[in-house]
Amino acid sequence: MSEATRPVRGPTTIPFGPQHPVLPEPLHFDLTLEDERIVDAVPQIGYIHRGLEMLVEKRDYLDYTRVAERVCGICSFMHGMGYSMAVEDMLGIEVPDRARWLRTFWCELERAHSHLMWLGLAADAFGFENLFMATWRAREIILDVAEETAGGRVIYGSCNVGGVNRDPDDETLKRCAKELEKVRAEVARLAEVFVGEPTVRHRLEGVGILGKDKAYALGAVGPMLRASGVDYDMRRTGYAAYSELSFSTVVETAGDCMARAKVRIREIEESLRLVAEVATRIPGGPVAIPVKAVPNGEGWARVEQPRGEALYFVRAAGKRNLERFRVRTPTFANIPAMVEAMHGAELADVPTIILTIDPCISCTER
Amino acid sequence: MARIAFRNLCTRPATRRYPYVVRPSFEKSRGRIVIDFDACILCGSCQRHCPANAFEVDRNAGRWWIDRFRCVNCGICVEACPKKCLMMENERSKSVVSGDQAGREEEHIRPPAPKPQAPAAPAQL
Repeated sequence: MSEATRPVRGPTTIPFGPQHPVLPEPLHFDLTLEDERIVDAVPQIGYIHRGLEMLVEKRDYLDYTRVAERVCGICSFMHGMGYSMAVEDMLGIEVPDRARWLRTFWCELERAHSHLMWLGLAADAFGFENLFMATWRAREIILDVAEETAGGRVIYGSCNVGGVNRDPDDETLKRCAKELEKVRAEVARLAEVFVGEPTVRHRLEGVGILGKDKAYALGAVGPMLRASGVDYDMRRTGYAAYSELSFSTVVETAGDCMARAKVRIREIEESLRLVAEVATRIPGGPVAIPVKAVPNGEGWARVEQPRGEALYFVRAAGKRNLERFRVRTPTFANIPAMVEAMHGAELADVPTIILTIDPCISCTER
Repeated sequence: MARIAFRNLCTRPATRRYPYVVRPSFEKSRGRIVIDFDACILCGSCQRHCPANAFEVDRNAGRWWIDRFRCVNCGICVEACPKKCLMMENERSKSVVSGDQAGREEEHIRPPAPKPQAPAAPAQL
């Protein structure tokens, strides 16, 4: 083809989502491409808004924990706990020791199962179905432990304002921790595949690089931020029983998709270790205190969810129903960083990059 | 990698043939709501607290009704029940496989108690 007849190539804009095979939830992008390279990406959310924040005005503030839990289907316990912590902050309630430790137990269970789920979804996104199945099979053991101790597989329903409503005995907790040893062994095996397998490395290494300064400036949180080399973890603020536990924050420096996968793999390991530590060191005593106060004032809470820092705010004006409940979810904070990571990437890598922030669109829109 | 593949070849399937094989429930699982209707005073507390609007309680008609498809098994009603006649059973409801959705709803009706007789007028002195 001569120079004169070759078509002029300008940027092309293509729609991506809201329905896309790799996306479990609706998220839309207008991707501007030059050949196969992304030069711009404009995200759009708003397809799955349910109005759960508004519901706080209609429900009794003690009952609302169960609604707050349903903000997300994966980090559900932490949403319930974050809401409870914000209300406890408003009312000035001290939660009993055993309740704090049990909350930590369930939080870390949730982190482990969320990251395992993510590993499976990531494997599914780059077309490795076997790995997806293997990861979810390991996750099943964690879900069983959750059901045995809290009563539910993913929606635990065990957190109340003022404590928790389930009190598994110490033997059950120890037995569960022993059961989770199997998951640790399985995760170690799966990690070999994730980190060592050439086909996986080909899809993840050097893809969607996010520099340390950019990640911090764009307000990324959680594994997205830690994979770019920033040591930032809300658990260090010492909520629940974290002030009495020693744990290390997992940080990687490469900032690419592989680094995010590695952060999550090592966090699973750390979470399962914390669960075992909680099971052996948990103090006795009551697990809840009765809450009879009429809410008034404002309260805050910040928790480290599997996807990053989440922020909860409640405000009340002397009635049983609160005036306002607000959640800032980690996915919402990670969207600008995700867009930045997409710049310069190839179109075929876009699903992998979206997946590596572990998007939870239902949380984001509530 | 090859090791995992060979191991998977000679292990049994990780799934069960549900509904023929059902996993036993844990002791503290939240399965389904059951009611001891004889002890129920039809106060409607469950209806007021339920986040999913799964209950209908009508004191005048003596009716207590639950829609199990709406129920999210959160257990708020069990905590709120003043007579403790609502309980959380650890067995889940059976899957509904027929078109008529048998087992979806549960209704209890207590015929209204006969009105107490007015006390006999005291004999006039």
